[in-house]
Amino acid sequence: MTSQPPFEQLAGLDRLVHEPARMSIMTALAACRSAEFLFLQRLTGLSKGNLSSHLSKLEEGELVSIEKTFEGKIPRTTVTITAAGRKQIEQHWKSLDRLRKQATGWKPEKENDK
Amino acid sequence: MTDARRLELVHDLTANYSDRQGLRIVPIGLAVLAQALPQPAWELGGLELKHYLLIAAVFGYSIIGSFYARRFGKVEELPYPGASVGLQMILVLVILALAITADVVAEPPVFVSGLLIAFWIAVIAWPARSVRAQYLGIAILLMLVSLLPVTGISRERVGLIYGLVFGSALVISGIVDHILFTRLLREPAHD
Repeated sequence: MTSQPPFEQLAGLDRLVHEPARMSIMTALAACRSAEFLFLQRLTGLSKGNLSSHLSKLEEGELVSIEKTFEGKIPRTTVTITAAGRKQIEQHWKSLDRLRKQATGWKPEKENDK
Repeated sequence: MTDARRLELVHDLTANYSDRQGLRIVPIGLAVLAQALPQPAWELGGLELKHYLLIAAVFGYSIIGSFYARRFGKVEELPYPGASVGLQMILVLVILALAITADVVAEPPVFVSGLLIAFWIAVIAWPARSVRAQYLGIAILLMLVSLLPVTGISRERVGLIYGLVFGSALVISGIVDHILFTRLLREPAHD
């Protein structure tokens, strides 16, 4: 993978995690044990429907787990990152960092200029 | 703000969620300020106004925490690495009590307990220096105030200056922290 030009590697990034709202969610969840739906909604600025859709995708990918409970009569949705999710976001961050370093020093080959 | 910088701030905010709720330390800052300012001759149940302000600050910390939870949601933080926060607090209070005793009994040429508080703030602020550099600035300022007795200023006056600087710094930093907090946790869109 590292022999490819950085922009080709960029296309190979995991889109499930790389989408900006999901990357924000995963970055936040990796820094805590769990977070409420309201916190993630504030963090991303997304509507309830949009956030639910992103969380469902992450849940389908087994990167997060979602628990719905009641505190009295108030429903609470708590989201927790799974072990696989934590590993995935850490690897994703490493890939982005590696790409950033490679892109800084990358120069196009002469054939590409013609 | 770049995306990478925003994600760095998101990580820091989530990892230190209760600590970044800036308004919580504002009542504590006001109570510290009140200790240094002249007090009205008022007493109730053997306690002065400044003592009640300290008690109100402790309750205020908890009440404002509930406001943040309702408005921004709850986050369960990861366990603190190393010794528990409770054990660290006990250790700091014991060392602080010893330093205050040294200040009162031995009257050293510097304000030892003031230096200790400044050092503690610097240690706590260091890991988040790229996000909250103002706390390192406060620590340096408090260290300088703690050295003032060397210049011949009376220890009582230095104590008052310390309280004014520390209290004001806590109030201002709390407000700055709150502004950053609300910038990151914005009003969500509606369906």
